[in-house]
Amino acid sequence: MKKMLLVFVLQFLCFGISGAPAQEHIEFEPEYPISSTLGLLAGFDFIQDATFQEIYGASAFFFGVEYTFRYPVKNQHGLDLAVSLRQLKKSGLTSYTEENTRLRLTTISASVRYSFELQRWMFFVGPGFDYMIYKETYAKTFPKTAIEGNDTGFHISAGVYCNIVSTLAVEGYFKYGVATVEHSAFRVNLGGAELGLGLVYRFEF
Amino acid sequence: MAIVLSDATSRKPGARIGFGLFSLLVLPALSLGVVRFSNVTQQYGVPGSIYLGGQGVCWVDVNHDGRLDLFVSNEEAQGIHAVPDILYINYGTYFRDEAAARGVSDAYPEGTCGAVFADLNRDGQFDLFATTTFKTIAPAFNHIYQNDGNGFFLDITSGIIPAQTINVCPRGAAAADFDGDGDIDLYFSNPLASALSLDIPVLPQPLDNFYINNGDGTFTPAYRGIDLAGLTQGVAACDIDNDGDIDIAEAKRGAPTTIYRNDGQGNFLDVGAEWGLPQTFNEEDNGVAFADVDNDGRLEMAIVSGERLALYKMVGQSFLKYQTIWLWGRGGYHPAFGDFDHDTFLELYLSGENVYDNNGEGRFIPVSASESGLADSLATVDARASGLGDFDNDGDLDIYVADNKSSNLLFRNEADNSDWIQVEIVNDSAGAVGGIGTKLDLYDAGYLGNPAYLRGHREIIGEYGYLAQDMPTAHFGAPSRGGAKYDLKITFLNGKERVFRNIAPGQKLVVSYILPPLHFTGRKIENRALLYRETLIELSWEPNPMNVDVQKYRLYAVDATRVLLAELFADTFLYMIRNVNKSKPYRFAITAVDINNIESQPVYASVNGAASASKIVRQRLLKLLRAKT
Repeated sequence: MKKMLLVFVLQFLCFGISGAPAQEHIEFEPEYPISSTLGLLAGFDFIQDATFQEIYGASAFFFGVEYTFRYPVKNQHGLDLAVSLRQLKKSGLTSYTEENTRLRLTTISASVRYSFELQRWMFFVGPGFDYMIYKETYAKTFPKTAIEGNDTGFHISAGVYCNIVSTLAVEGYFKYGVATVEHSAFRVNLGGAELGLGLVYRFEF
Repeated sequence: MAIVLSDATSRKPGARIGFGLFSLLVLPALSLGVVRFSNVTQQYGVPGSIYLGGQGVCWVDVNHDGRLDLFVSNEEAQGIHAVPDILYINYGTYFRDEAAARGVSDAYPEGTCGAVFADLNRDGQFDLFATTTFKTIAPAFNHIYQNDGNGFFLDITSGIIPAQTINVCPRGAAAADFDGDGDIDLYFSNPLASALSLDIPVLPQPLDNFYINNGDGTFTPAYRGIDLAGLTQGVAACDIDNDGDIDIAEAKRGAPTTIYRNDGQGNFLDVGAEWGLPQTFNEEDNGVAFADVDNDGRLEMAIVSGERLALYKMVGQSFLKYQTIWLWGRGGYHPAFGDFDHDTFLELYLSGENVYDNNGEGRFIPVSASESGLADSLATVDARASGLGDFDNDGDLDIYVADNKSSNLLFRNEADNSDWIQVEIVNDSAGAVGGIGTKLDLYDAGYLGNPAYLRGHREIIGEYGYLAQDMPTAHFGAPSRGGAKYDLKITFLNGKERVFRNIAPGQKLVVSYILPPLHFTGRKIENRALLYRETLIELSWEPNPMNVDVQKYRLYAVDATRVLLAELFADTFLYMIRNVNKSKPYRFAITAVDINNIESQPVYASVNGAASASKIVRQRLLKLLRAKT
């Protein structure tokens, strides 16, 4: 799976580079047009829940896609609308019987961000809303087959884009989310820190 | 109270006067121990039927409350019909007759004679076989009552034996595994209505007088070689020749008292003549009993009639009479042997008479009534059976006497010391409570198996003498002076032995042929996935090193009833119950089961409260289990 992802990322990278106009050096427009980015994300979620950490470990790898729309408000200052879809899958063992269990967590995030562009760098920070779809599947010996559901949460994120070429950028970000799944007898905190990297294709309207 | 007074092998009536005077004047001063009883009949409220008619006595704890209850069979007396049997339930400070409420007051108007309690279906409960003694009213059929576990009985006769068509008039009855197939069979005497009139010699008649247990809860009537001959009074069933099976002796009128030897398969042969019993037809014997009165590991025999009690010792393959006690018409029904003074030698109590001390060689010397406190026993009108049991749980043997024509009597032993050991068999080699047929040998500690240090030999007997069943617990006198301790060898009817060492006196051992596992515990544990929290119960136990042939463990959930959860291999010591209620308390029981499917008594574990366990606990447990394997 990870190999396929790597191939896909390389293809995406090649596509971005090939779409860029041939230049000896990068020149950025003095003005700040409305632009969008579409990119691939990957990284690690550090979900806070103690049971998650007991069963699945301290972190979980995810991948996803992101679309942002940037509206330049004044000079370098802009307002971003970002939507992303991320999914993590992880296998673990139940706490006592050590039976196999598998978690799939799909998160759709929408955020509003303030962005600041400085030469090839663009920094952003802003809050957002998460919609999570989760499914945990258990071994046959476990009393349940699977539990699935969905819930919502909030996050705040901050990060930076670094333009490699005019149409291609590398993104790095940090996100901290809060999302509590309620059960009759206990709560699960699916929030926590997220560190991600992205490779985005940028285009202007 | 071991006193050597006489080398005489018998005492004629003339000698009795001298003995009486001697015992009155000299014996008390020479006594080393004390046999002392108090009449507590009124205090405990056990006078018997207001219509009188007392015949048989059985001491048994029918309701599992740890106190011996008392069953008294009553026969028509004074011309009054419908004399019900009595089941006195022991409430500690008093008894109360609950026979009617508990279903054993007997349906036959003319009453019951022979009755015996035994675990007929191996459920750990004492069931009741009550015979019916025909006199004038037909039908007169036997009854089998099943104990529900709480001391309430259900007459299941019609469901487990074929319909009875012949009126019977048994006196003695017996319960034991006669055919060695692992379940309790029943024997009853006089399987013919007219037997009661057979006080004259008659031709032997082969009639069905056994109920052979089929092992499935039903019984088959059978004739196994014991003919109807004369009128049988008392019956004793025990391993008379020490060959590992249960023989039967019958005290008879109109025919010689005799012994029927078991061939091991439940077939009997009359060996009375061969074994030296008198072949006279004019004796009117009422009771026959067996006990090891000289601590040599073999059973001596006592035969009692209205005239005398004759004591026999087995020498080679023959019984030789070695002492006769003349009775002068008193106490001619039932001889009871018990170590009343805790000197390791069995004393003799003759129902309606007095207690006789053992001189240490199996000869008996009368104890004065002033010393024994049994003057009221000597005042009985028509004493029949007497049963020995420790009804007040003080360690000594008390006596209950049934009187056919007067109030019954309860005598409390005032020994009040800790020089005793009791052994209760809660689960024998057939899986039955009571241990009928089990032999027990008590030795000085460190001398197990050495005959010179044998301090008592007992055999658990269903019924003996004249219609009596002592408490189904072996009682030994075991002096504790000098910190003495004892070793015990228990030999079950199937020949397997169990040994206990260094037993301190003053305690009651509860023994099982197969013992439950040790350290049975349980706890709730939370087994977590991210989105589901399962509460499970982990039960663990350890093998009992006393068991040698455990085949499996049976695990039960205990609520209002006991429900089998699982049968587990003998090398399994851990069981997990998944997805239980987090807050509900649970209770479990586990038993060990041997190769013959004999199940031990259960041990219990309660699991309460919320789950709390960590992985560390489990790892420790797994490490322990790995170490064991």
